[in-house]
Amino acid sequence: MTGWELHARLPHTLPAGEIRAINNPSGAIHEHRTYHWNGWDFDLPPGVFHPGETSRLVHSRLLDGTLPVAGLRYAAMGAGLGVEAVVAGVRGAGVVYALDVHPESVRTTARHYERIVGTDGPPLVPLVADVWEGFPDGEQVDVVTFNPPAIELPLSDDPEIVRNLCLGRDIAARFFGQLVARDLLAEGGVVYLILSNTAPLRDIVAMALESGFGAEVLHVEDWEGDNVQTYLFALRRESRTGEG
Amino acid sequence: MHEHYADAIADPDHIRLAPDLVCLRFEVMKVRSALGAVRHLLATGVVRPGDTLVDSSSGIYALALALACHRYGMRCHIVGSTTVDETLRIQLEILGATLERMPPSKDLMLDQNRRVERVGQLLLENPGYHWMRQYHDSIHYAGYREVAERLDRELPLEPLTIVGGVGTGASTGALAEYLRAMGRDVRLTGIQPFGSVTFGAQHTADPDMIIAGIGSSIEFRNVRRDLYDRIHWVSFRYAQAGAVALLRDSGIFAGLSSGAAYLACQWERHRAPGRTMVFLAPDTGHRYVSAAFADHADVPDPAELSPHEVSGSDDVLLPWSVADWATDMPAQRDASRLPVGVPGWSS
Repeated sequence: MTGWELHARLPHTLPAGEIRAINNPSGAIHEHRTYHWNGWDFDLPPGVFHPGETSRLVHSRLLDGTLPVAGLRYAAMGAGLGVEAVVAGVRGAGVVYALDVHPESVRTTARHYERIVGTDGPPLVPLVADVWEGFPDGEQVDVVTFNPPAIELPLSDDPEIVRNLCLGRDIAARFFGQLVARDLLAEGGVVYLILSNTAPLRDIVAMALESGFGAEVLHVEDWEGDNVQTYLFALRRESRTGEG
Repeated sequence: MHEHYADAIADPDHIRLAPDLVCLRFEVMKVRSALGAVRHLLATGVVRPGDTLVDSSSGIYALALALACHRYGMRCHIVGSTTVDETLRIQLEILGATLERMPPSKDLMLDQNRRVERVGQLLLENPGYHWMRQYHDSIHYAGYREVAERLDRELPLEPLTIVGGVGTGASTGALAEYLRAMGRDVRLTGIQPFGSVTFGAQHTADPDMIIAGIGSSIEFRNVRRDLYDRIHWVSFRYAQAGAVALLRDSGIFAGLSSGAAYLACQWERHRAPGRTMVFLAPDTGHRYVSAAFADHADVPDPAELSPHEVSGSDDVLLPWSVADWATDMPAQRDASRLPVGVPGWSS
């Protein structure tokens, strides 16, 4: 099932109280932390976001090859501490673009990439960018992973938490708008979008469809203990693939 | 006594042109915005004295930021265009700001992307740099709190209508929002150029030129559209007529956005009895002498001009249109999203 037929079956956003109960942001983002995953150690300076379960779902699918990147031009939109970039490097992407609006996250990604992937791996292009604004003009990518900070509730007054969690539809609109207007996705390219029903999931998928993408569900995670459902979508330009 | 030149030029002169008509006349309005933003960043510990503030600008924001940096002991790095004029370039140099000049293309969006790309490189290489994002960061509202407080003191009783060019939305949006937060009855009328995307008129084009200070073909995310009650779309030619009339009627020598605001204000004041109209004049007329004032004898008389009343941005028509924007306000308005007050930094 794809397109608007799929859209009609997607879950509605959870009630605000339920979202607040699930997402209880702490002030830990202002401290230095560490993260361990797949045998790798990551350092998180203040301001760099600690990955949650949703992010780990993307990391695992990149690592197990469900989201293929080998030989392809890959962009991690919202590079964070750099796990996606590192995995794509290890999996042999052609080139890895790491984009984030937060300069320290991009520097952190570059440090982790240099230490774990090393100079023998694919080249890393670290970019401080506002969604795609700042991505070099005239270049294209084949694969993008996008885990938007899409909760729309004001969960916090802390700008670091807002940047990582609460930007809502606006950031998704800019993501698709710029991707299409500047023709940044190569022929046959794919965007892997991960969203849960704590975000305006249906509206964001509708934006993708209205921007000319076809949507296919690759994975649904129904987390135990709450009503959160997380969807991993593959989005491809319809006009290019002929996908219905 | 002002402690710095930037403080001296940041505050507007309040000039009453008629019992129900007041002009807030700035020399360089964006200095008020830049000072407030830098002060907020310092007070909240986001930056420290000696850090570098960076942004892309080829216009007056570059000067405003350089002055604010000079005022607060910060460094300033501007990524601009090779079209930056000599007057601005020399002031920036002497103020100690770094100016990088990139050649412009015919595509504003492409230019903006290239400048952001360069800003991104600077941020990556220099951990002490902070990106101001004048179009997008709501800290640029903060400086207008003092303007609102002073206006509230000087006009304590009457309902107000604020009229001004929207631009990044910081000046008009902040003034209305701060005054409303004080419990004042405030209506907000914004001015847009034809071709501006902000209120949906990107399908139109001014035959002369877009007045870049009040709208753009690129998105300004600082604008909070829900704050505005009325929007006027004013052509270059009609803004010119307003600027000439403002000088002729009042002696105020101000720029094109001031002229557009004066024109709109004169139209609105006769339709809003009991309200005091307050319009913003963000800069002086010096930069517009040849473009706007030289052929003053040929510009139309504003008294003979009237706008097309339209129902929305889809219907706007040159050379002047007006539409109600917030039809079911104030319920439509979000909760205040102004930068919170900073203890110890109030005026």
